[in-house]
Amino acid sequence: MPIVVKDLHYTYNAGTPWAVPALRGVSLTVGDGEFVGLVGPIGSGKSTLVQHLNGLLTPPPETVWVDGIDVGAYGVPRQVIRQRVGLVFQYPEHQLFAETVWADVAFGPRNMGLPAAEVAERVREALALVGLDADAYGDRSPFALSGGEQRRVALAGILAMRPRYLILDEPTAGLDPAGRRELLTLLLRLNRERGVAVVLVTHHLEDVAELSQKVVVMDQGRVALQGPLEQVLGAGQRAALKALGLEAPVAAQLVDELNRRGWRLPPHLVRAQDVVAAIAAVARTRAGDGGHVQ
Amino acid sequence: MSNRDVTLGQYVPGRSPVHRTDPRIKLVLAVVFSATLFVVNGWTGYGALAGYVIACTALARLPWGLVVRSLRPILLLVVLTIVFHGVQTPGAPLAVWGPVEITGEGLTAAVRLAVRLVLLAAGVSLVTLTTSPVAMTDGLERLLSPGRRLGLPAAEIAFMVSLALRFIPTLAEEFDRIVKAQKARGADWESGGVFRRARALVPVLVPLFVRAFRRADGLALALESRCWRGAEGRTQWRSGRVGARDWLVLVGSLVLFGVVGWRCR
Repeated sequence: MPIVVKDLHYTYNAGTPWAVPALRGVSLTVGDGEFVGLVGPIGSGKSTLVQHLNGLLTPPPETVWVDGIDVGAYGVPRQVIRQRVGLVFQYPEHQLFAETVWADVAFGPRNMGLPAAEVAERVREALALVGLDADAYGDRSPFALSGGEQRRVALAGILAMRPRYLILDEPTAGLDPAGRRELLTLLLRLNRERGVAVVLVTHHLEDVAELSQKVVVMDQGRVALQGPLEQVLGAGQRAALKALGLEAPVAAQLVDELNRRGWRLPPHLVRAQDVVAAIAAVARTRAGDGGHVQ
Repeated sequence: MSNRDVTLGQYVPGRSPVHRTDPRIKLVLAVVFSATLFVVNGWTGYGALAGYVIACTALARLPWGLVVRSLRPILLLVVLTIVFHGVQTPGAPLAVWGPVEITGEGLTAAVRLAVRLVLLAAGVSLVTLTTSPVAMTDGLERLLSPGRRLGLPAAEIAFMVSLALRFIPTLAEEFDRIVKAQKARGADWESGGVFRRARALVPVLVPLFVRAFRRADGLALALESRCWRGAEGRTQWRSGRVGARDWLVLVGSLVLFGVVGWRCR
């Protein structure tokens, strides 16, 4: 069962001089086990939208459904929604509070009222997922860890709740290239091996191109573009993306450039590895013809 | 950003006569107003002062809903005051309920104090709602500057106050963010006894303090790297002068407070 959003509106500080419309009629679907890239300029409503998906902001009834549950309906237990939809805020390490890594990661499962043995199992599993050994790190203070490790502990805190949907707001902000690579690989693994649906909120279209099956582009509180990866980031939409201040992935730009010089690469390619493969194939046929690569 | 409830201390930009009155005048009047409020003892006096606040609010063209909302934080205080006064003041009992008896004298005293608190909050928020933080700091510095001869670091005090004011919204936003992050992990503040609820605040307060200290560190660094050496010898871009209109406002209001304070003791 998917997450479904239908014509969602939201205004901050409604009824005061500071009223700011943030969402003006957003509709989208996050399918089971899908990997969705959510992109858009700052202030386009991405963060506001994702907070509706786990009930941190209460949507009006009949606008947001998670696994068929109407999030805005009266009397729906918030805890159930929040367990299903894990939300990782930007700089999640800012929420660390406990004296030990173990206690911090256990916070979520304990709030769910799970028995101690189950909590322990989940903490161990979540820490292993983010690449931290529970025995080595469990007793340490989260504040004594490096920035990258803190981020992983914070992520483990959400994973320990075993959400079916994982929403991450700029999860790689401030990480070094290696940390970034690791985190994105982890997301892909969660998605492919465990069937966790992932919504990645980001400005990096490269990341989106490499990981997502589906892309949602937001602008000024509305969904500007939405669809399968190659349709949204492919050649047809370059101008539309540019108008929103978004650059197509470098690999896609390379395809454009080569095609302008007379190559005939499939114009919808956006993934780096696909582009490399296509270029290699063309090069091979040219070599076979006895010609040379320009 | 979110639907925070920190209207207290917030500034609503505007160009009304109240906005344009010199901040020093507003600060002095706020102090005298508060003092008058506690001298006055009688409904005529309260009525006059309430009229003054309402007139000023109308003149400032502040949205009424906002003014009412800025009073919300003191609501609990008002309720507690009424309860304790109503129950604890000795006098002729109006109603007896077990060991608790409510007296007429108690009720009167309670309502009086409640009116005072509400007027106090309304008067003070009128100043903060119509004075920009910069103007407020300038006004405070100039008001304190005669004390400099006695060794009072007027500019530093004003600077600290302005920093503190500036960080209220930042901290409020941070608080909001952390609350949301912990809620996303299933934190629950809506159930359990007082003790449980107080304990449930730990996951919010610890990160909030950690962040606040980091921020203070960063701010100190930023100040130093821009060669801030204290406020000594700094000059001002805006050298506001108290004009004839400001004096008129000051004298007029002081006379009103004086008369009300004298006649309605």
